[in-house]
Amino acid sequence: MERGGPLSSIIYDVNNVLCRDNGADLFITVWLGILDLKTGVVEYVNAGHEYPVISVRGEKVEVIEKDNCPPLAAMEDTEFNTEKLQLRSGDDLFLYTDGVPEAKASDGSRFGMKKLVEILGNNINKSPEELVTSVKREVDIFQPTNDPFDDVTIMSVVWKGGKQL
Amino acid sequence: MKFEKSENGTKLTVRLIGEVDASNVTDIEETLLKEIEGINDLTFDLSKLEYISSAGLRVLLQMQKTMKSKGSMTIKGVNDEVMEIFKVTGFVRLLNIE
Repeated sequence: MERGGPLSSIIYDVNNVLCRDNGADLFITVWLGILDLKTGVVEYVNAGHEYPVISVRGEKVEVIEKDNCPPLAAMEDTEFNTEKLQLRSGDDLFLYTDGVPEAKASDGSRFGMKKLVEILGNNINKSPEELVTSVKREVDIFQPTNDPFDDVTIMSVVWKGGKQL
Repeated sequence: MKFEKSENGTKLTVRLIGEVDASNVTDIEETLLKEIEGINDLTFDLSKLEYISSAGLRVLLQMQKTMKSKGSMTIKGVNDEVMEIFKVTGFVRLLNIE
């Protein structure tokens, strides 16, 4: 694999810095992306992070399952590939940490991607704020504990098209 | 979580059964670090593993790095659910999965 564009170079360098003095063999998942506000193209590197989800023009929900790279700090000199996705006006790009699909109910079951996609589908015309609130609320109901299994971080971005720029 | 092992000289096979997560990973890590002393061929049989969290993945990575200097490590019997975790986390590129 050849070293790619600027994003993959940044991740490559950060990974090698993090690999130094990592005696505990910790690792970090990262999703680093740049949205071109004129074209709606998102260039990104997914280093072991959850798959991004797009709510397409308020019509359907798509999980973008491309080959993920390893997380940072796992292995020195890892090569990271850059991926691209094209948003269309009104599309919502939804990102989240593994604390969402891996949330655990008291009966041991997990929240899972199916439930996440279902909730996004039920809230397809909502604003980014409402989407984030809806998913967080469902995770809290599913995992009714003050000591969550993992951190829950959610981000939702709607691209409104390049015409107003 | 249950943990089974079979040893044959310098060859060790470890079977992880159930779920590996932050609640039990410390015990697994401590046991494995003792068990792999003198081992140069380590195999993880994951056919009965139902789930592995990032804490468990860290231990697999740790074992992989340790075994790299003294032999080899292989993962086998990975079911669809665990393979999906390996794919999302990019661990398919780090581990030697049969």
